[in-house]
Amino acid sequence: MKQLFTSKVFLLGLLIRFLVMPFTGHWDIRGINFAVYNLPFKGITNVYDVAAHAPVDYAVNVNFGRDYFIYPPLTYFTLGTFMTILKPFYGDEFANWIEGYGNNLLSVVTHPHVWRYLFLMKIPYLIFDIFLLTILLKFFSKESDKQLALKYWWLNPIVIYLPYIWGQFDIIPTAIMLLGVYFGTKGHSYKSALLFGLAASFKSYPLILLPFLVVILGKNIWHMIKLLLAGLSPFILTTISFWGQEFFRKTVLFSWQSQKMLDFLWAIGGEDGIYPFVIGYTLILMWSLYSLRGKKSSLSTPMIITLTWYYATTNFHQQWFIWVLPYLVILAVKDAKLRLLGLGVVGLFFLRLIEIQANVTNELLIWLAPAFDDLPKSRYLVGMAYDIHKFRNLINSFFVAFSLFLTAYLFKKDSSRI
Amino acid sequence: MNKLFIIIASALLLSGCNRLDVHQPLTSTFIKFDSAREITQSFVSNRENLNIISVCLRSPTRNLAPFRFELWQQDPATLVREISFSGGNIDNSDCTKFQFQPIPDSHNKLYLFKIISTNNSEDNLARATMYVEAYDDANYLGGSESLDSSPLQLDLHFKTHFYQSFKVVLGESWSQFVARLSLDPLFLIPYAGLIVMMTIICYQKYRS
Repeated sequence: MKQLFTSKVFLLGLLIRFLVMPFTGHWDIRGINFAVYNLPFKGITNVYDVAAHAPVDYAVNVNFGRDYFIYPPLTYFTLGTFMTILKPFYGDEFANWIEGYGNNLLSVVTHPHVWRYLFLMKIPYLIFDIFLLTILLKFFSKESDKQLALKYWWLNPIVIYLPYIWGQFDIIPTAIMLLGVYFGTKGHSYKSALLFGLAASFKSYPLILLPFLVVILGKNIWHMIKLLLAGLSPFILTTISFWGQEFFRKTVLFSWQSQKMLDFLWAIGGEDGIYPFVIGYTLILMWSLYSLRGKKSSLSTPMIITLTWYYATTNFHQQWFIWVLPYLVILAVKDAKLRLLGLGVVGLFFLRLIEIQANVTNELLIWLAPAFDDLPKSRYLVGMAYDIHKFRNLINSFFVAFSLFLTAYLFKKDSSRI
Repeated sequence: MNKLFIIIASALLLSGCNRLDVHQPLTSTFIKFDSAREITQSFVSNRENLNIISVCLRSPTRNLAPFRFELWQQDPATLVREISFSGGNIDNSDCTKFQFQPIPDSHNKLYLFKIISTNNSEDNLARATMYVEAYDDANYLGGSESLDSSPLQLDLHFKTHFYQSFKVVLGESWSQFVARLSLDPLFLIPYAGLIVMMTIICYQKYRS
C-alpha cells in the first residue's frame, strides 16, 4: 500500500486532481451542497422537508427548481458528515455564500472564498476515489497488472473529469459497488448484497444490478430470496423513515430520472409499446440465470453488459458513465484486445460531452473568470460545422454499437474475465 | 494545419465575445399573442455595447405570421434598432436572439424592447399560437413589462448581452483572477505550498 501512495503515477494523478479541484465545477455541486449544508450549519436532519418548503436560492432555483436534492438520505448524511468535519475550514461565511445573494450571480461566482469551497466540497470524492483505487487493485494478483490498473484508473481523464472538474458524487456509490462486486467474486454473497444495497442508498442504480448477484451467487431459491432481502435492506433501512413524505416519494423514490430508461419505447400498435432496455435487461438476466449460476468470477460480466445497454438505450446523464468504468478498466487490464476499445470509449465520452445541453465544457471554468460562461458553447461551435442533432444521434449510435460489440465479445468469452 | 490554426485563432480574437449582462432566466407562465398585438419589457443596460437581446419566444406551429422586434431607448423615447421576423424564425428549443450592431453608449440607459405582431388582418389566428415565456413574480427589478400598453405583474424570460473584444475579455478576466489571489490567503498559501511540494516530488520521481 505504501508503494502505491508513493508511486509516481499516483502522485501525478493526485497532483492533477489537486490542480483542478478549486477552480472548476458545475452549478450541480453548489446545488447538492445547498442541501447538504443544512446538516452541519443548521442541524437539520430532514433535508426533504427543507427542499419542499424552505426558500430556494436564486441560482439553485434557476438550475434545479425545488428538485435540487433528489438523492437518498445517506448521500446527505455522508456528505454532511464530511462537511461537519471540515466545517472549521469552510468558515461561517460559507452559509452566506451557499444561501446566495439574490440574483447577483457574479457575487457567488467571484466570492473571495469560492476556490476554497470548491476544493473542500470535493474532498469526499477524493477519499472515495482513493478507496475505490485500493479495491480495484485487489482484483489483480500480478504486479504488472496492478500497475496498469493504477494508470488506467488514476490517470483516466473521465475519472478526473467527473468528480473533480464537473463535481459529481457518483464516485461514492461506484466505489461501494466495486467493493460489493469484489466480495461477490470472493464468494461472500451476503457482504456483497449488503454493499449493493449500501451503494443503492446513494444512487439507486445498484438495485437494477442486484438481481444478477442474486441469480449468480444464490445457491437455491431460498438463498436467492435471502440475498435479495439482504440487498434491499440497507436501502429500505436508510430511507423508510422518509417514505411518508410526499416530496421524498416524488423526487427520490419515484423520480423521473430513475426511470429514464423507460423513455425509449417501441410502439407495437394501439397505445401499447415495449421497452428496448427492459428487453435487453431481461435477456441478460435470463442468460445469467441459465449460464452463469455459481460462476462467482463472472459476477461483473452481466453488470457491464447491463450498464452499457443502459447507456445505449437511455438518454443518460453523462456523470452516470462512471458506474461502469472500474469494470471496463478491469477488462482492459486483463484483455489487451479491449484496450483500443477503451480508448474509443474515452473519445466517445468526451464527444458526447461537447454536444449535450448541460453546460459542462468551458462553463465549468467560470470560477476562474466569469467570462468563460460567455465563450461560445461547444455545441454551438460543433453546430457551425455540422448539424448538431445529427451529431448527437451519431454519437448515440456509436454508443449502441459499442454496447452491442462488448456484449457479443463478453458473451463469446462467456465468462470469467474478472 | 498551422495556417488553419492561425486563421481560426485570429478570427476568434477579432470576433470578440458576446457577454451576458441582464438575465431573467425563470419561466412559470406564458403570454400568448392571441389577444395581444404588443408585448414589452424594459431594462437597464449595465454595460456599453449592448448588442443582443434574447427573448424566450415559442412558435409551436412555426406559422409565418409576421412580427417585429423593436428596441427603444427611453427618456426621450427613440427607436434605436428594429428587426422583422416571422413565427417561422423561432427556434423552439432555445430562446430567440435578436442580434444587432452594438450600441456604444448603452451603459446605464433605460431601454424598452417590443415584440409586435404586424399582422394587419383582424384575424388573429395566424399569430395565436405564438407565445412568450414569463415569470409571475418580481424577479428582475430593473424594468417593467406590458401587454398592449397595460402593465403586467411579471417579468419576461429574457437576457441581454454586450459586445466585448477578446483582448478586453482576456484583460478583464486576468485582472479579476489576479485580484482574487490575495483574497483568501488562509486557503491559497497552504494550497500553493501543497502544489509546489507535490510538483517537486513528482519531478524528482520522474527524473529518478
